Amino acid sequence: MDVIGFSTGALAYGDFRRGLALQSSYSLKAIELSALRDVELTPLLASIGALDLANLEYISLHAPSRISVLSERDIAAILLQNAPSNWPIVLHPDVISDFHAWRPFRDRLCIENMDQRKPIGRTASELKPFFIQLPEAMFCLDLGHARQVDPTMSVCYDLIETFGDRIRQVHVSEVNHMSRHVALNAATIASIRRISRHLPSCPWIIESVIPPSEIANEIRRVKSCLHAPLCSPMMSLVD
Amino acid sequence: MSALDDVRNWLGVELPAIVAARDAARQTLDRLRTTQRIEPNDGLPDNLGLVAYGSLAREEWTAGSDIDWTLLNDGSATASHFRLAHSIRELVEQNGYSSPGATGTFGDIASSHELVHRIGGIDDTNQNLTRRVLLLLESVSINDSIVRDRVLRQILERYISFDPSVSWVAKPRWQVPRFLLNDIVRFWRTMAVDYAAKKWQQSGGKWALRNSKLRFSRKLLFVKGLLLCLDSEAGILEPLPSSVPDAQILANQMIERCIRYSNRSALELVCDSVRRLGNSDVASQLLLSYDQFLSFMNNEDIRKDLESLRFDEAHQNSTFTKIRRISMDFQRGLELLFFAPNSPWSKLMMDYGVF
Repeated sequence: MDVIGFSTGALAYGDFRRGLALQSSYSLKAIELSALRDVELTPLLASIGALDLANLEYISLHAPSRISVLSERDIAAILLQNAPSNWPIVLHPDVISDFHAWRPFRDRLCIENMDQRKPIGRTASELKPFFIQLPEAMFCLDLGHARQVDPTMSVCYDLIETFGDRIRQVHVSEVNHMSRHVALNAATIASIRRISRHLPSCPWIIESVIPPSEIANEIRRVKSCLHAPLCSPMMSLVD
Repeated sequence: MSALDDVRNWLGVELPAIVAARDAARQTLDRLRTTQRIEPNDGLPDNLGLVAYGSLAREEWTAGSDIDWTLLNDGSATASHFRLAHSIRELVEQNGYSSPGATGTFGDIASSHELVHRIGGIDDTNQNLTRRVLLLLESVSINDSIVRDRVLRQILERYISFDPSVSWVAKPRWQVPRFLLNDIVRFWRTMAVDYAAKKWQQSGGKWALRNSKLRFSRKLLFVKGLLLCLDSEAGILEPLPSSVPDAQILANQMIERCIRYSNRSALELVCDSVRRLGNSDVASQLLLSYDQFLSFMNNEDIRKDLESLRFDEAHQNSTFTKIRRISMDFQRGLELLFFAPNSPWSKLMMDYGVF
C-alpha cells in the first residue's frame, strides 16, 4: 500500500508544526515538511528534534522555491548540513542555476515537474536536461501540475515512462487555472485513476490547500485515485 | 538533416522557392518572437496562447503572406481579453504585416471550449471546423506553446480516446483514427466547396488565386492530414512500438504521435514520405511542381495577375494555364504516392479513404 500524507504547506502554509498537528489525527504515515520561502528553512531545520515524527514511515522536505534572502548555494549548504540524511529533498527545477551546489545530494534530491507558468520543467523533454546534469537525482511527480499542463494525461504518462524508475514520491492535488493547488474534483480523480496503476509504489503527498474540516474528505478522494481498475478510455469518461 | 534537405540531396535539385519560403517563415517567426513582438509587452495571462496559422505555420512564407493569428483562450473568459486581441491587431499592423482576411476566422479570440466540445453537429460552424483542423494541421505558437499544445491534445483526445470502435475497446491496436480522418476529409471538401461559394458571393474576385491555392497548398494540407491518420496504422514515417499497452496508454501514445506529426510542416512529411516510397520520379513530380507554385506565389506581378483574372479569360491566361499544368503534375505525384501498388499507404487508402 502506498503511504499517504500531507504537505504541511498545504494545511498550514509556513506553520509546519500546525500542519503536522492537523494531520496527526488521521493515522497517515507520510509527510512533507514545507519551507517554500527561504526564510522558513532555518527555523524548520532547527525544530526537527522537537517534532513528533515517530509514527511516520516517510518524511520529505520541500526546499524553498521563493528565494529572497538566501542564495541558492546557501540553501543547498544549509540543507546538506542540517536535514536528516535519509530525507528526500524536493526541489523545483527553476530554482536551480548552480548544478554543482546540488550534486552532493545525489539520490536524495527529488526534482519536481512544474506547472504551466514556468517555462521549464513541465514535460519530459523540458526535464531531461536537469537529470543529465544531476544524474543521480530522483523525481517528484506532481500529478496536479502534469494534469494542468495536459488534461489528457499524455504528458503525465510520458513523464512516468521517461522517469518512472526515478519516482520517489508523488504530489497530488487539483491545480486550477490560476495555478493554485486546490481540492481534488471528479474530473481530476478520473484523470489520475487512468494513470495511477502505471506508477511505482511510492508515497503520495497531498498538496491540496483545504480547511481542516476537509482533510478526511481529501484523504478519501486521494485513496480513490489509487489502484484504479483497468478501464477503456470511453469507460473512463463515464466512471 | 531535414527531410526536405535529404530529398534535395537525393534528387540533386535545389527547390529554391521551397527553401526560400521555409527560411523566410522561420526568420519571420523569429522576428515575431524577438524584434517585432506582437505579444503585448506585459505578456499574456497564463491560459492564453498566441497562435499563428497559414503560410507562417506551413513554412511557406512568400511576398503576399499575412499573419493569420488567434488568441487561443483555454481558461476563463474575461472582458480584458478583448483589449489584448486589439493590442495584437495593432502590433501586427505596426510591424508592417498584413492583417488576416475578413472572415473573422483569424485575428480574434478563439475559445478552446468550442474547439474541443463542438466537433460535428449543428454547433460546429465552418469557422470552428477551420480553426480546429488548422490548429492540428497548420499552426505554430508565437509565444510559449503550452496553451496550443494543451488544446491540441484535448482535441485529439476527443477524436481518439472518446470515440473508440467496438473492436478497438476489445482489442486495442494501432489504427487509423477514423473520426479524425473523417473530419480532415470533411475539412478538405469544405475548403473546396467554400472556394465555389466565395467565387459566387464575391463575383469572381480573387477566384484564380484561391483556385491555385486549392490545387496546391490547401491540397497539401489535406495530404498532411491523410499521412498523420494513415501512418497511425502503417507506421512508415515513424515506427510503431512493438508492444501494445492498454487502451488508455495506447490512446495517449497515439495522441503524442499525432502531436509530433502535427509539429512537422506538410512539406517535411511529404518529403519524408516520398523518400520512404523510394520513387524519385514521384518525388520530382511533387516537389518540382510545388516549388514552381511557390515561386509564383512569391512573385507580386503574378499574384496581381491572378487576383484580377476574370473567369472567362482564364483559358487564355498564360500564368493560370501554367499553374493548371503544374498542378496536374502535383496531382499525379499524389496519386502515385498514395495509390501506386508499392505505396505503403495504398491499402489503407482503399480501406479508409472513400467508403
